[in-house]
Amino acid sequence: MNTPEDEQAWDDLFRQRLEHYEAEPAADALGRILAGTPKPVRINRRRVAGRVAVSLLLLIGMSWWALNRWPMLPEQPAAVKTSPVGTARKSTLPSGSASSPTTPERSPSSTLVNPDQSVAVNKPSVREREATFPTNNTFSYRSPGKSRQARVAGSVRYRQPATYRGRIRPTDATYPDWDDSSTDLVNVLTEVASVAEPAPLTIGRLQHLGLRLPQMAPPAAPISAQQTHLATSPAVSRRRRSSVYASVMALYSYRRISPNTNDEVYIRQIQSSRTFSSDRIGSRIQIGKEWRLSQRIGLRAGLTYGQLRTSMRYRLRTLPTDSTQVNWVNDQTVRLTPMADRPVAVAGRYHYVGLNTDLIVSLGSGQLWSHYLTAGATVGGYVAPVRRQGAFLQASYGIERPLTSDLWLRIEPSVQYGLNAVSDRRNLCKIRPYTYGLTISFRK
Amino acid sequence: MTDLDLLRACQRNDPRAQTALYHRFRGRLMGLCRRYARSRPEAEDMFQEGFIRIFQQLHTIEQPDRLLPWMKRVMVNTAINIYHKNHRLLAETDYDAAQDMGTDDHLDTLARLSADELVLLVQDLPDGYRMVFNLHVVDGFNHPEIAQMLGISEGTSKSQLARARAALKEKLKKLGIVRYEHS
Repeated sequence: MNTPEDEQAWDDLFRQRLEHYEAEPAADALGRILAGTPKPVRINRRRVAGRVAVSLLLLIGMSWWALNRWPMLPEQPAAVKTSPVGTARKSTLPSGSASSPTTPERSPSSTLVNPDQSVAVNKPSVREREATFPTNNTFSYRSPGKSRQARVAGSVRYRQPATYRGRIRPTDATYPDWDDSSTDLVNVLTEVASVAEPAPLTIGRLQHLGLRLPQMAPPAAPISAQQTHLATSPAVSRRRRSSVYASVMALYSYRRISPNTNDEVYIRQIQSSRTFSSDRIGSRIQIGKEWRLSQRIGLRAGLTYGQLRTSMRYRLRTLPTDSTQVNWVNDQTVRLTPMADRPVAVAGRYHYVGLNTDLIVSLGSGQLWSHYLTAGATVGGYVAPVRRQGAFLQASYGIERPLTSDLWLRIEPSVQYGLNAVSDRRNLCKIRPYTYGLTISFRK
Repeated sequence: MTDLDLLRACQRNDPRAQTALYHRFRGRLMGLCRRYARSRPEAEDMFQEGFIRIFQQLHTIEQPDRLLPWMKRVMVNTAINIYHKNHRLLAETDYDAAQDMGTDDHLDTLARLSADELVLLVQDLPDGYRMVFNLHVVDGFNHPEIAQMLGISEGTSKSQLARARAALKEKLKKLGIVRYEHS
């Protein structure tokens, strides 16, 4: 009869002889193994960069072509846009109320009321200013529905006081018809408003304002900053070449789930969250810079951080009934969990960071809001709970309006589609997310 | 190339790294398969299937120092799966009652045999015995773990181990006698 000690010694002898036993596999084993393994995933960064560049060029080209083929949405005529100012002029301005504090010595003779346009000009003090306006100058304005001839016929003859005659060259008195965007008009109005400031007004300064002052309605009462602000509607504000923006997007995430076929498991009865479940809520934050490439097209690029939540339930069944899940407890202990047919509930929150680039195409402007479309991509990766590269394509339709003189509010319903799949923690499913959300951003 | 570099390259499915990993561990893992398989062709199939699973699931490994234990674990799982596919009903196959050996002749024989001969002895064991013997004696799993892995009771695991020991001792004894007769 063997004792346990004898058995232990016998087991130890066997273990010593067999624990590190080595054998040579067949010569063609490596080829068969490599043939059965997944193909290498090679990321050719130059090729990816090239594709992105080509895509952007195509997008820009298509946008350019589309914009040239279909004109921009009609904007309000310049005369309508300047109507608030004109209305202010048309009102019977008390000499005192219309005058600027900076022009205390305004002479009654400096106000000319035109019966057609009711424009008026304040003459600054001769002593204080060397301002010179053209004499016998023709001011024209574009009224909706009028032809050029009609506009010429309806032009207003503006008669300058003798004090200002002879200071302007005759060529300065006639200019081609105003055919520029209303943006310039407002700029001129803005600059004219600054004329009311104590800064000296000279011909050079007027020329600096665009040499178009004679073509517009002559300034009536000194335009106050408030009136200028009224004229600075979103449709006519001049944008800077670049600006910074920050946005936050509340989103709902949806996903395409495909079981991973690498292992011998059956996943069935996959159930994801309901359409408007709280388990789908996520968010995205962006901060970056925006550049104006042309009158209609802009480009923005920035950093993106996003998180989206996933939850699903499924039933798991292994093909061989003895499959086990192995978890390391410590170096000597392994926890084995048999994988039988059982329900599994998976919930997780994926975090990703990336760089986003969007092309912005302006559609036009209304009274308060401007409309635009964006399309672009976000390239980055998931950082938790898995680390994996990920890219998104996104598009949005947005509206924006100014909140202050240099702060704009944007509202963009957006859609974002994930190009790369992530796996759940058990590597049983591949999840490709796509999101819908509302982006609220501020641009300065 | 360090183990960490090798692991990372294999996780990118780099064929050169996979080849290097294969050549580094093929002997150990094939030896394991030979112990668990009842024949060399079955060991070859087990080795191939296990290595494919290793390459497919290598991305789950983060620490290179656990690479070999993990690979051996995958191979053992593969062996268990193959065992279940082929011999589901044979796990509880009855065998003659274990016979206690009154002498230590089998120990002397065991010391004289080469590892290849020992493996052939183990391969000749019935499937259930061979699995329990390898899992417990060589790879160090305890009976509750073996019972869970093989889907049997702990008592069955213990009895099959005892019978495997007895069968091996009997074989060793016979082998020793044969050798003695031939010498």
